[in-house]
Amino acid sequence: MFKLISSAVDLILGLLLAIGPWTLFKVCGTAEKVMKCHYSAQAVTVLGVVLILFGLIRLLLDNRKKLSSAANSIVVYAAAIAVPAFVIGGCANSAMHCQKVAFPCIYAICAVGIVVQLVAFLKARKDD
Amino acid sequence: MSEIKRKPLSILEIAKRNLSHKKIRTVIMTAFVFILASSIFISTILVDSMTAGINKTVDRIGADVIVVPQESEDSIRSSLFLGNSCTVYTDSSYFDVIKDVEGIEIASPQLYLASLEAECCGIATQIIAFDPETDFIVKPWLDDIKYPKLGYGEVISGCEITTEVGDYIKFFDKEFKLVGKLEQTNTSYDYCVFMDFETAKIILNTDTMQMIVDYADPNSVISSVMIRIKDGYDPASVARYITYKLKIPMKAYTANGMFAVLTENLAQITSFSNILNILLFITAVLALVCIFTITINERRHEFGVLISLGAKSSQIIEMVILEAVFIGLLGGVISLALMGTIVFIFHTSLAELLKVPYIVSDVAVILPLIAKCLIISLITAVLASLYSAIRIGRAEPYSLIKGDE
Repeated sequence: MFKLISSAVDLILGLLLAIGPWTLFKVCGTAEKVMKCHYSAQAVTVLGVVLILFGLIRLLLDNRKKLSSAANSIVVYAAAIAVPAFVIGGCANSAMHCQKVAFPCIYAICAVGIVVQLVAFLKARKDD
Repeated sequence: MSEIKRKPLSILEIAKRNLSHKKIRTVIMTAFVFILASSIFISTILVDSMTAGINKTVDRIGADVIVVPQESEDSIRSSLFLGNSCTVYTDSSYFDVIKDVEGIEIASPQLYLASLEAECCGIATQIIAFDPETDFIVKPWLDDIKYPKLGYGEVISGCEITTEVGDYIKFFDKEFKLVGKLEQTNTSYDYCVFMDFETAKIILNTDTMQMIVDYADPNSVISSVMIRIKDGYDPASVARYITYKLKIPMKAYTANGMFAVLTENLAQITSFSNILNILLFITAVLALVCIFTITINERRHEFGVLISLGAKSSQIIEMVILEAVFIGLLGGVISLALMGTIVFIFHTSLAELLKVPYIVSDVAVILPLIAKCLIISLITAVLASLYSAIRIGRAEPYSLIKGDE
């Protein structure tokens, strides 16, 4: 049951990370100048797609492999936080939409993902 | 043969197992503590943020009295408190009338202009122009950043303006050299750009601004007059004199008086949140008392058996209280982790939503608040369990086994 939940969480959150920065919690526009937040959003989209793949693959894995799969997801969520926060970044002004809405949403989604996969990891280790 | 590992059955272990065995009951009780802790946390953050915002803004204004055009007081108040950009102007000749009022040590005019929102990644910026001859507000900040005087075409900015020092910043298609940035103040000034009146005339004489500032001579406009009062004079009396005795369409406020409306709102919000938190506390305690009483009555037989097997009454009381402690901790920790994360991550959006200059998210403020909420959560749960715990502790094993209430 929990395997299904952890896969579903990766699928849903991965999808949110992949399309969210362009739809639900958009980063700043590119009409005049392409800002750093645009590249951050692109990187987060790639990480979101990776999470969707992890979610699909986990459905097929046995318990032992599930352990490492949950750990991998945690790393990807951490990377999705690091990209806008440290690696690429965004607009410097904290009043800009990327800093005010888009990045906080990405952080919140990743925080939920990390907590769920951490529980999945611990549960899989206990079951193992 | 493999050996089954078992934890020793301590009172703590029994309490934990009781809670995990009755999941629905545990979730409901935890939810009451969660709601209480969240309410206290959020309302305290909101009230603290508003208080800090008002205090910091009043401190940063640095004037005893502010004189603003009568119809523009809300715009200037909103600009000073929330950083909402505005363009406000009135005739500069009023300044000559004001500066000679008795009790004024120094008076200095300022001009508020809102830049246009850039198409791409810019936001409307508040431009504040000052008179270098009389200014006593911006000069100390220039001293702080070791830049004694702004030249023609030079500006300084608050820390949130993205342009790097030494680069040019564009307003109304005119470029201005950014020569310094102020330290973070957590006030609207973090988003402002400051320049002297001579530099502001570059903007005032652009075609766009001449359309906005619909005035005969755009070079002779001011938005406000900042006043420092001589020692021995009362700022409120001077403000009253300017408002009622001078026949000019401007209104004077003391620095605190400017935000009197906000202070009144804050007092109301504080009262409401205190009442709400007290009601929630009472509701949570009563609900938990009910749940504890009902479930412990159901478990009288179980307690009777435990006492018959050698458990002391004090251990039974300890077990019930430990269950309450776990519920208090669980509800408190989940609530504070969730609310703390939301406040930390979404503090800019929350500030905009709640109409406060900023949300207090400093660790030094948040940690004591978390400790306070946790203690209240624990007290609530333990208080609620005390009645049932003491009642069960006093009961005879025989009546417990019989299930008598």
